[in-house]
Amino acid sequence: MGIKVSNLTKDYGSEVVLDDLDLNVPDNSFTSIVAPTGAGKTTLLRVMAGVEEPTDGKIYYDGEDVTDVSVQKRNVSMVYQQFINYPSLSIYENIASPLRVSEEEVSQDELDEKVHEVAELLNIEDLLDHLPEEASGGEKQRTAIARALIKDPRFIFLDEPLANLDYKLREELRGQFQLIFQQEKSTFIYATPAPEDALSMSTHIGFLHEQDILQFGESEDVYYHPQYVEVGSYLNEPPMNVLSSELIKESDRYYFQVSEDFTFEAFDLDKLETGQDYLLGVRPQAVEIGEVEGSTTFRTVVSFNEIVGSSTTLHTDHEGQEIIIFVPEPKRRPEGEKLAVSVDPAELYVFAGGTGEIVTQGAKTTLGEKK
Amino acid sequence: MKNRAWWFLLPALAVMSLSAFIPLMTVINYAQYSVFPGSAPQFIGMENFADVLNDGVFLNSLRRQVLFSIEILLIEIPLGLGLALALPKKGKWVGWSLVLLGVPLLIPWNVVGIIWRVFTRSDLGAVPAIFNWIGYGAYNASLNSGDAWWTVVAMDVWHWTPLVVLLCYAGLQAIPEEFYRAAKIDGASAWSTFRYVTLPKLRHSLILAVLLRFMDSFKIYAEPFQLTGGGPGNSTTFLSIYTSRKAIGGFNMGFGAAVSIIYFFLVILISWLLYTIMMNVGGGSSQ
Amino acid sequence: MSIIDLQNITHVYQSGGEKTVAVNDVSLTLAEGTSNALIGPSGCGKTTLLNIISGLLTPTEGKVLIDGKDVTELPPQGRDIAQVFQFPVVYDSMDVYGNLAFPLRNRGAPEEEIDERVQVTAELLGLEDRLHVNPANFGPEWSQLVSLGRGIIRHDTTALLFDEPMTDVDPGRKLTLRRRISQAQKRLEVTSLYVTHDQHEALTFAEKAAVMKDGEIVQYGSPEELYERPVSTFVGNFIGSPGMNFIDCEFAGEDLKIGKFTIPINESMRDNLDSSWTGLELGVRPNLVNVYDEPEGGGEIPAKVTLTEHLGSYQIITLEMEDIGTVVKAELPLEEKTDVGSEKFIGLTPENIMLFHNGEAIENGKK
Repeated sequence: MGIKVSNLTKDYGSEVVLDDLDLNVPDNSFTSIVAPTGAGKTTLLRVMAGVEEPTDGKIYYDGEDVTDVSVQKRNVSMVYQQFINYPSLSIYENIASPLRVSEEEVSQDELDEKVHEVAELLNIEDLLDHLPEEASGGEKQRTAIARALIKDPRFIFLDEPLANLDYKLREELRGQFQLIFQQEKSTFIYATPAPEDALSMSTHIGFLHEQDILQFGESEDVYYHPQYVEVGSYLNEPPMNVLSSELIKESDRYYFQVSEDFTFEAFDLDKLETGQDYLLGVRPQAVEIGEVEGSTTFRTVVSFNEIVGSSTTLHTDHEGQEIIIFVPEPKRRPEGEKLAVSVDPAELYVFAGGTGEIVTQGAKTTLGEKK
Repeated sequence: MKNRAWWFLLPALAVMSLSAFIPLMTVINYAQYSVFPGSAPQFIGMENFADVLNDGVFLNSLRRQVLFSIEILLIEIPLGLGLALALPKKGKWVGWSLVLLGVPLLIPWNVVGIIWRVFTRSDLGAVPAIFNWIGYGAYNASLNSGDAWWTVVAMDVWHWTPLVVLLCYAGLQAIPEEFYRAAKIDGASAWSTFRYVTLPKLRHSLILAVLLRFMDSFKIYAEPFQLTGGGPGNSTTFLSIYTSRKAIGGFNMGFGAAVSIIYFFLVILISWLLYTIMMNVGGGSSQ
Repeated sequence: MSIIDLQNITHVYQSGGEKTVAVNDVSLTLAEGTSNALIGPSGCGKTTLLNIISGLLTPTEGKVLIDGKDVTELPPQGRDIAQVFQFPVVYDSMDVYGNLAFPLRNRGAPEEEIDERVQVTAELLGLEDRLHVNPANFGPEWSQLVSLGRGIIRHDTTALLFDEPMTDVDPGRKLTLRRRISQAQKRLEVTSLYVTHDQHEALTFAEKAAVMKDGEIVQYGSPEELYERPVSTFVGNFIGSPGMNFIDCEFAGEDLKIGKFTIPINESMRDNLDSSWTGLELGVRPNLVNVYDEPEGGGEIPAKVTLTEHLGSYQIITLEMEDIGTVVKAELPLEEKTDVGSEKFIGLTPENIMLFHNGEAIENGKK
């Protein structure tokens, strides 16, 4: 049955962090709470885990009200961004510590077996005799994760556990988290500002925006069917381009006008209104360099190159609107270069100008969906 | 129920009110009565306060007290900061120097008095001998008021400068190395580095040191009492000696209570002034 | 705007009786006005090397030349170098104006000149609206800009050094700072060196990056070169996200053998190989692994999808080649169907692969 959060409000005096928030974390899910830094993800996690009390509202675990149950009695564990370990205990004892202090009697053999089992899962068997200070950052975090797993908690809360690791370790642990999740019977609740972490690992995503969950659903669904422009634009890496436009009618032709010589043929006309403003979402990977048959081609000027290992995030400027292009190889283009680029109208997401709510989306936007 | 933490504070609050609040209320109460042992207290309103403020000995003690604290601060703060800067930052000597510096802090106040009394005895003390040797003339703390005054100052400096050193040293250790590296690269001189990196970063430690040293020196009792009992004459009679003389020696409890209250508010007022002034110095613009 | 020349730099740390070689015989020349990066895993010696250039450390051996002049023994003040540290340094007893003016005042510049330089620098970094604000409460991204401003305000800055400047900056704010730093470097054409363990930072900033490992520079080249022609398996894995795949193979006189599968190679490559060699590895970038649903008849290797990762604009799949017992990662567009457990066929073509012998790249044409 998972976790149910109902009408949750949390404030620190005049600063309201979460406001009347509802959320259902399904059982056996890997649920990511995604939001930029400072949006209140950590607070939400801490309140759900019981480390902090809500100002108002209820938390239910498997249908049972646990709002006033202390965290020690909840059978949960937590992994933090900082690598928290007991410095004077060996890695073995660090991992074993939750079982040593638990009320249930655990025999030495059983304990030994469990420690080795989780240590193997996290590739730290060779380090069991060492102290945490002798381990690298990645190994310290693996130790913290192993300690969180060993008591088979009902729920595991992970607060940006990969944030302080370098990219090679992040790549490795991302894959490993999925395998661990498949093996464990627990439900994972994972807070992260990185869309790629959430998309690659989680079964469900909740997008936190302005003190509330703006959209919640299966990861694929949230990615391919964003309900709001904020969700769509944030949940792509690099972020989705959002272009302001107006729907124009010219004789029998309807089109979105972004600028003088940059227009898209409109579709789903019955959902649209002439003269209204629309925000057009275009994924950076849907922008192609060069002219493409059947696509809208426009000119844009290179302003900045970001080389992201195996790819380049090309920042360009089209009459004051930034257009980001995903280039699947590390290749710098001279700044100031004028490019002709094309976007297929079938790749567009159309959001209402005022509310940012989805109006319609092109036929090709869901091609990658796995169902 | 939302703020359970308050419940945990309750025992502490209870103890505090017993140990500070109740005696304070008693003193405030006393201050409005004429209280002499053996006779019934008589309510006289603000009369005690008026008497205190008109008492020449009180005003002289107060003036002396302020002067003493100013001198103490002017000597101990720069001296303490200087010593802290001179201490080694790392290595095996750190521990030794800190222990050595801390020795005066570990000595009980009455022992401090005895040590200095022996030190300054005109017949066999080291201080008169040294003064004699350098040609100062006859040093005698129990006869010469100047000698008594500077001896009390010296006692306080010897006893409490280590505290300033420790506070500053801890503050210095907390300044990240990057600031000094950046200052080097920015071409800053030793003085600029001290002025723009060390001093601003030590601000909180220094404020703490000034406040602690002010409050403590303003209440100085043991040193002059042990040395000369406040003399010769009234030359080292500070406020605390004056108060206890009036309240206990003179059996005038009501008067003593009024002095205590004025004393108490003076400490709070001056501390607050010092704090406010220091918090507002050094943050400004530079153009 | 100077040439920085490092000649045979070695640095040994001594603590107690123990010696640690942090930098081992490094020679490197940074051309005038170029942007460079020094990248490597933690503990590789990159920060030590940076401090040797800035003068905070004197190397055990070797020379540092700035424009041909030996500065090895000079303190930082004598080198006119600017440095932005990992920990943002602002002088919080002065406002932003005072911070920017500080290096000039220390050198006794006239106030009119200072004022002009402060205005120009503030404009370049987007600090003009904050000149009279005290930076004590700035977030790390603004503090770093002030720090950078103090570095570039002098006319005679010889070089600009960065030591992991993004460490404390929020992920969402990194892009702006990255852009401002790059812009300032390009506009001023000041010789720069950016030290980081993050390839994104390094390759975005630098025209040329030096990859460092165990105190040595293993490769110095443009981001494209490092990606397309890594000199070793270390660089191949370190640059790129995910890194290059490596598969053990043998040279069978004509072609390559991976287990029972045959991979054709170019003639030019063939000339550089010896069939007696062991320790031969085939390297292929994840985006150059061809993945098919059906065999194409060109010796594709069957593999099973064990993991798929949606990375925000593409996907990475992990494929297990059961016949060989090796795992390969492939980068594919999101549209590709890649369910876990499904059977795929991997195609490795001569133009997409590199060969490594004992970890060293075998280049076409030379060994």
